[in-house]
Amino acid sequence: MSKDGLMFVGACVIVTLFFMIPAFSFPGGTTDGAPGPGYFPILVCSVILLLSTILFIQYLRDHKKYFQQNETQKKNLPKLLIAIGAIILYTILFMFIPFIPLTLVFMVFLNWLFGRTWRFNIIFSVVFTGVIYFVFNNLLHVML
Amino acid sequence: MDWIQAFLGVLQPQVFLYLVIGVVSGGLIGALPGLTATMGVAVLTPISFWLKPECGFAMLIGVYNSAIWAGGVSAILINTPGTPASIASTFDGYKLTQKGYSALALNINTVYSVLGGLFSSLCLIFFAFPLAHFALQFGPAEYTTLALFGLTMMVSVSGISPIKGLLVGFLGLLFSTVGLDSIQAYKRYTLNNSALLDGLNFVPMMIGLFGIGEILYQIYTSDSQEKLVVAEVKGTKQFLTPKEFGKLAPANLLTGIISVIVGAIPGAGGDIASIICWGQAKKMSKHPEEYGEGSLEGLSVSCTANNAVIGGAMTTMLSLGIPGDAVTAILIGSLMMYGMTPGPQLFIENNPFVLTLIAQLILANLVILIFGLTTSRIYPKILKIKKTTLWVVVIMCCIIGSYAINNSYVDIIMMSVAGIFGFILRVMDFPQGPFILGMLLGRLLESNLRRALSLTMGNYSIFFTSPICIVLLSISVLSLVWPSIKKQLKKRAA
Repeated sequence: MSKDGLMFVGACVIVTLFFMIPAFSFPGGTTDGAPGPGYFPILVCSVILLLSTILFIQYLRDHKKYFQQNETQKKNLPKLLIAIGAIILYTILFMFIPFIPLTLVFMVFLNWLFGRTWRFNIIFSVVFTGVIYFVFNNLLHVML
Repeated sequence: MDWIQAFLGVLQPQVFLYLVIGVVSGGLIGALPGLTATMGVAVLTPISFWLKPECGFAMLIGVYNSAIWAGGVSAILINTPGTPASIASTFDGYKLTQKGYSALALNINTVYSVLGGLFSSLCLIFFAFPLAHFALQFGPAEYTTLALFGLTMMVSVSGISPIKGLLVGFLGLLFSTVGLDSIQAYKRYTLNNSALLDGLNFVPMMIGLFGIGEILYQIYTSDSQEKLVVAEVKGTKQFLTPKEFGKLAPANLLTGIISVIVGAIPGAGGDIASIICWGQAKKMSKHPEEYGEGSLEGLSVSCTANNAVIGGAMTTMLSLGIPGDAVTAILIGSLMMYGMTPGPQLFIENNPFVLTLIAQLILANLVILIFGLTTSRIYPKILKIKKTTLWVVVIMCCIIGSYAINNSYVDIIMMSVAGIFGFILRVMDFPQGPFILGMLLGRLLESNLRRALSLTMGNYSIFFTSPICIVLLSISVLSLVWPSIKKQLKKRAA
């Protein structure tokens, strides 16, 4: 059995139930026969549950490992998780910290994570932060 | 007269400048392995919203066409397709490079990609208008089955298990239900957040899926220290002789026709077209043994196929509102952001804009011709850019681009979540395209399904009485069951 696959199907079912359960309490259809707002989500959720069941059975028979298939993936996993964490942290801090210092630190961190030399890292981060700021803030008038 | 105005409109300095910017950007994006046309158009879409529609679309059309063409450059020079559409260009292109004819191979790539693009643009002109006119007869029942047709076709040709494709497509449909429902304006799944009343913003989701998702996948699966061996551009012979050009014409004409048809089928992109056409041309060739060994004909048909798909994909996108591939799905989202709805009504309400789009497609190809023939010697240097540099650039463009759409933090969060979801889909061998298509078609499907049922007091027979519905439903069912039937037939034959 494929553990990765079964976990994915489980996550799909949870998301589907999150949509399906409230849909039963949505108002009913109109007098002219048009179904109500819950009709389509329930229909779609039912199909997803059916497909998830089929996929669940397939994954029970399947032995494929999707995550950490080979040495490269195992080696890169910490780097991936740190990159995801850094992106999430950046998007949260984006609301509270001014753009230039935050982006500068973020880019220096990413370049360091990807193994670039300090010289390249500093020059690239400064120049690219400046370019992004100029293009979006000055040319496109996006409030950064 | 309208056409002259459309072409003159594109030749206005501002519009033409954005077209050139798009071609140059697409040339870089397409040539660099790992950056696809889909990612390029997705990442640049937010910038286009800050421009006038004709300027924004000039840039996106330029990127789309140019990235597909430039995918062939890395296929020829480093034996790695820059975009999936160029996979067949590696078969003969790299062999020509090894034989010392890289300059000739690059020029064949440019000339035949442009010819393919121009041929498909002509097909777009001939077929989009009658198709849109025909689609004007569509009522809610026909639109419902058309949306189903689009979804099932994309799933069936995605090459991955139809169950996986369908599951992702239906998840997309489910997420399209967030926001006010289209008939009774009832709030669904908004979590009391006013930002969600209009539904989940399509563009940040798309940027996340195709941009961040792809980069995370590359971080996870590739060796960042790997060094590329890039061939130099050399060879005394740079162009085909008129005689050789004439010899290649029949195979390329057939390729153009096949590719336009493949492009018009939702989900069947340039990769499928180029492989089909390369195989077909090999079967018909007088020298099939040369294919895969540096055949000029083999390279030319794969290059023609890449770009000839675009006109086909644009035909269904503009006239029916159904995207032919992932890039046209993004373009539909962009049109919607500009307040236009692709489909037959677009030809009535915004006819000059449709003509402008087609004119941009033609002129983009001409710009690619000049750009491609003059810059081939620069590409070995561009291909030496490290992928880690590209990762940082794309991550930043995705984050800032999603924020720039509405100056909204919610969009950045949605983009990040979609990025992680896109990465998981990629690792688990699920196609991402059907999710976007589901999100795009969800509203069309739901509103028309409910309208159709209200016309018949809830009777489903409406979907089985109209000939158009019957044809579309039959093709949809057939496309879903065909892979299983084919598998069974193969088993029996074995």
